[in-house]
Amino acid sequence: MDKSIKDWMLWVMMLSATLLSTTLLSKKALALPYQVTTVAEELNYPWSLAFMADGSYLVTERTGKLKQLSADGALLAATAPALPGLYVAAQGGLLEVLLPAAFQQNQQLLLSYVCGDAKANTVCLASARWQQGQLTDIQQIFIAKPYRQGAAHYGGRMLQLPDGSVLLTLGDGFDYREQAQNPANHLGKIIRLQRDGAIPADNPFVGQAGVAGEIYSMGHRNVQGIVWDNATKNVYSHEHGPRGGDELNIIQPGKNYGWPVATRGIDYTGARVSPFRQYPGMLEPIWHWSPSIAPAGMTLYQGELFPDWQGDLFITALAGRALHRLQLKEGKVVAEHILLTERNDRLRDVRSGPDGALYLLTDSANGQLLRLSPQ
Amino acid sequence: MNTAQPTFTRKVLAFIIALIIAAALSSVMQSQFNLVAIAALVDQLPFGDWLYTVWFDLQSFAPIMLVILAPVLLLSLIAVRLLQPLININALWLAVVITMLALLLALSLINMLAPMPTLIAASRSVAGSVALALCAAAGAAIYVSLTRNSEAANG
Repeated sequence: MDKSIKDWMLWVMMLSATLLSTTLLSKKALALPYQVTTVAEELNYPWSLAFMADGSYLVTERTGKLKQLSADGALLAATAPALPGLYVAAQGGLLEVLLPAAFQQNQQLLLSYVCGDAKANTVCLASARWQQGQLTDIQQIFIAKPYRQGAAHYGGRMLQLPDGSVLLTLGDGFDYREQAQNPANHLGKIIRLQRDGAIPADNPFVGQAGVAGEIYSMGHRNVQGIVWDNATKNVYSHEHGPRGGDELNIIQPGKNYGWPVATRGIDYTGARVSPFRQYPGMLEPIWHWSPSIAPAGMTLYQGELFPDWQGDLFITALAGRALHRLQLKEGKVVAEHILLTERNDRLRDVRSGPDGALYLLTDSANGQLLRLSPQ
Repeated sequence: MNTAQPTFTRKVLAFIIALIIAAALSSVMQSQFNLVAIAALVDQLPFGDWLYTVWFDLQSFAPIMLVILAPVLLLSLIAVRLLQPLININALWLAVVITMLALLLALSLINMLAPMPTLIAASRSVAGSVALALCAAAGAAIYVSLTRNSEAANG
């Protein structure tokens, strides 16, 4: 064979080998450590997710329905609970469903929702019994005060603490931001209640004149993610900032988290909310996002499917359209990884499933329940 | 006696000047409402922080007011031009009243259309809304003053 043809073939083979190895390497580098499967669709603005012992899911839709889905996503039950005064508008409606630890014994769950009307509304909490796909024995056990106008910034997330009490997050009502510093009411607070709505005797401000006894912490804007870390005994919460200044905080009883006095955000119009980023006596966030990602849900991963993710916080972002993974070390964030950007979904809620997978709800009129598991 | 009507160029210049001054006044006013609210929540708000916030808002918030005020002022001044010969009220006072009403209407429309209950924090209260409307009205008054012809000015 002619030498020039041999040389030419050699060059072609080398080039092909190089291209092939580069392609394989880049595919390996780009390969996602997870796969996303759609468990259910046609959920109307799904807001929160809870896992039943039989493998099924309970999902709230902000527009007023509570649905039970089988493990493979089939609709088992759908009910529009007769919650006293339920008001659906803008950010308001049916919010969180919480299955307390005793749910297996008494089938009693808690629902946070917006009650009232356009002129006067607030966050309410109801207990109810879930039996055979229906809610019965619905009782309103708490009404946040005062009522406000406008359908924004409700908070509405719940967390059951190891002692059985429940934390409920309450937004500042948007137009009432200064009230987050007013200890006499519930706007812009995280409150702590017993499961029947009573005020626990060891709440930080119980018995203090002019202070609402339900308050656990204050100075919040709109908390929509709250989790308990049993390893560190920390309560983590995140909250929406205005333009910039979304925060991740460690919540301690009786503390003030600064809004609207101390903030890294500015108003949507560009105006300064406050001259202060920090202020004495007000706790600073352990992590913050500017520009805003609009954090809407959070879970602490403790499953076994992703060993590298153990103990990490996962945060859904509405505006950010991504899932944020925060690596923690001794109560501090040491790294942030942004996942699911390839889907470009507004993400509302994230939960650690009993099977070790992560479950997410997308935020849209045709919302989805997604399962995130290893490749 | 010079009774010539103002030229188109003079009107445009007067409008631009009036618009900029109205937006700046609105920004400074908005800052005061925000700062007063924060001052009520803290032990002290240093004067330097106060001034810096006003300066920050002039750079960051005033452009939004320019966008809001431009159509408000333009439509109000056109309305004054059309109405003034019919109802024979002093043009300056007519411009002040119409522009105030126009801004209040604009704020209501913006709040109806915007995703948040109230876009501009100062307008959460009646006092804040009226204060912003007065700033817009000041712009209208400046325009009328700058474009008033000599005869009218003397008469």
